[in-house]
Amino acid sequence: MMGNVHPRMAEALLQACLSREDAEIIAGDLEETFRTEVLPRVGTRAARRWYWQQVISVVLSRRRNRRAEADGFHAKRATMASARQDFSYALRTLRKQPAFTFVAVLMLALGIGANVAIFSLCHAVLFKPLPFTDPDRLMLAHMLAPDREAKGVWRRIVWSYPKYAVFRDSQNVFESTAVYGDAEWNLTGTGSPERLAGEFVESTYFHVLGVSAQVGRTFTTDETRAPGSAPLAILGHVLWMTRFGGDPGVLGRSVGLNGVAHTIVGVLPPGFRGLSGQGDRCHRERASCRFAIC
Amino acid sequence: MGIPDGTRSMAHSIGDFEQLILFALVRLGSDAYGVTIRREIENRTGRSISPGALYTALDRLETRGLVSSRLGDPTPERGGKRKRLYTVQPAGERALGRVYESLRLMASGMATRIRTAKG
Repeated sequence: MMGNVHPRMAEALLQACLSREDAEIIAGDLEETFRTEVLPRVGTRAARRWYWQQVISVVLSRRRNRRAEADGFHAKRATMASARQDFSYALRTLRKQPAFTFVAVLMLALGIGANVAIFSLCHAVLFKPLPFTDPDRLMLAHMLAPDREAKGVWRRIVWSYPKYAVFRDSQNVFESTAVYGDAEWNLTGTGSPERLAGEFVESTYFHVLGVSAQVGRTFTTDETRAPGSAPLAILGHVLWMTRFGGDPGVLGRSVGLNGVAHTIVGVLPPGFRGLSGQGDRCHRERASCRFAIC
Repeated sequence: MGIPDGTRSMAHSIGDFEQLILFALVRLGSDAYGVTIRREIENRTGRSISPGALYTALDRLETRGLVSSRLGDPTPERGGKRKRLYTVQPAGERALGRVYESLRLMASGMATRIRTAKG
């Protein structure tokens, strides 16, 4: 008997074509609509026809979707197969013409190598930021003077400490300034003598670069401005590790630099090599010395 | 400017039918499932909805993360079968908001010049 029941065959078709969960959900929706809306309005026969129409609509729609997905998948596979074919054809061609292959590979190697070299250089020189705090706010100031022999040409001249002091005290462009100079010393007093590269620096040097001591402290303004005060030194990290075994008790010890005793007040963090790039140890000389250190 | 905004809206565009479904979901709140969504759209727009198109569009909206679904309890009028309840996700609300705003701006002041279904 048909009665007020939706067509079971149609529901079976739904279950056959859809996943179990989808079939349950959609059959439930259709049955609810069938009972509450369609059947009271149009009668059993028309309602059952409506139910069939809905089932067929759902099944066809799902088939269309599956086909569209499959077409997309096949198109992707066809593209991959075509790429594989092209690649294998190129390999066969190269194998048959070794001279051409050699020249092609050589040209590619040279081209790639040259590009890598140029990019590395540009990266190091132009793009890579300086390893200091706020590198875009750092400026290196030079003093220029007109060349006597070439009119209109300006050449760098050497700073002296008095010139620097005038510059520092009268400028109002920079938040802070620091002067440094690179030098070499003979290190004595800690085992065998050793030749070291380092920098003479003003106390503001570390503040300007945003560098703090890893152990101990950096120089204070009083220490670098007072004439005749005791010479102090700050060790670079490498020197501290190799010469003093990373001993934190190195602070307060005395080392000889070019025969002058210097007291160690701090150790710099690893990787810091100063603005000269080769500073292994930063060092403060007497204010009366001829280097531009105050 | 026009070009970037246009590009963005193309990337997130939703079709006419999907817009109706999203509006229906917002209206129905926690009681949005196949039957109520279809009924809401048909009653409000007079448009006849094919179940195949409705479920396909709902699947597509769910795949795009604009709606989510969960299974509800079985009820007697459904022959003891469960229903799938849909909820609009924040991404769907944003997409619908963009559509609504565009339509509102474009239709502003046009009431007397547009011939509606009611004539």
